Amino acid sequence: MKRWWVLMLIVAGSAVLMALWFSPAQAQGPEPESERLYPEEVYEITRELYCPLCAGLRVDVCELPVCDDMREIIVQKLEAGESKEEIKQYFYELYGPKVLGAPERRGVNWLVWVLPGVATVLALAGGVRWLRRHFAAGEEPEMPIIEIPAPYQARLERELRRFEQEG
Amino acid sequence: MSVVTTEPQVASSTRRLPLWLLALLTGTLIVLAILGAGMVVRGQGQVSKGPAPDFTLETFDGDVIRLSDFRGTPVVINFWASWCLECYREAPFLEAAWRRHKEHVMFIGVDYVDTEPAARAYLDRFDITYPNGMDLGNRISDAYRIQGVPETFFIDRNGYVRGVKIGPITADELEAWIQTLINE
Repeated sequence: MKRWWVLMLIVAGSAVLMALWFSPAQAQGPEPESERLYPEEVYEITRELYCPLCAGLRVDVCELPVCDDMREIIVQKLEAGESKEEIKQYFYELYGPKVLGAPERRGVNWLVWVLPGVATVLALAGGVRWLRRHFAAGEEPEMPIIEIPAPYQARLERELRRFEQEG
Repeated sequence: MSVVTTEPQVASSTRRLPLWLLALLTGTLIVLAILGAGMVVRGQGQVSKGPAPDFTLETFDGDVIRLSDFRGTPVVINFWASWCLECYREAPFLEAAWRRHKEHVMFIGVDYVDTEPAARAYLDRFDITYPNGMDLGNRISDAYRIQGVPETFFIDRNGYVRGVKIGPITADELEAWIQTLINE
């Protein structure tokens, strides 16, 4: 019974984590169309760029003058026929990787990209293994096999016989 | 010799950790070490002594200048941005000092996290004539570990950082620094 309480706690904890995961995305949803100052193409790009001065704030919601200027430049570059990727590259060269909201995939930065995936796989594998061990209903635990030298084997059998006879 | 099975043994407190847990812990420690090292470097603050980090800067006029090319001449490096209101206060002093001392001191303006049209408008507004350029990819500001703008670094004629002024500099402070650098 106690084990099922543990399982329920795990499920409840996961639900809370998922709720927390999705709530910021709702908070940063697109603004109403009536309040928009720029065409949708501009927002498509600003949603993928981060303010070079703020911590984790996207350009489409940032009110700093530098982000105002970035939006104006995006308008000009779109009018000049530049693609989304060209514009993002322009800001990357100007402000560095921070503006893309992700570390560059080079050198020691690769650890940041690889380790979370590896850690997730290991954690899942460990979790599954733990769950199988603790919630496998009716399964007998695996008996370790040991080797007994002949003299002890004979004595063991003698003792067992005597135990059975004495009953 | 025969083989028998026994009841499972009670787990020993000294048994080895599972491989997956060991790998997970190792990975976590590596990530924490990298993050910690980054925080230590950031926590050191601005470069305020020692050799000045060398850099190249493409100016708004299209020239490319390198700090080490001015070895033998004191250099004033000013980090600024057009969106920085505090920078507006010191811009006239910097330009006036440059015009007074340009025979003896080099001035370099590094534009931090800015847009080109706004930066050019700023330079025009204060009629700034010493070399200025955008800090592409924040490489220079990262090398000097600036915490914001304005910040002004004073480099002696041997290429060593002699001091840094955080925030807007006054005309008197600037003149005092220039005299110190010239008279060394």
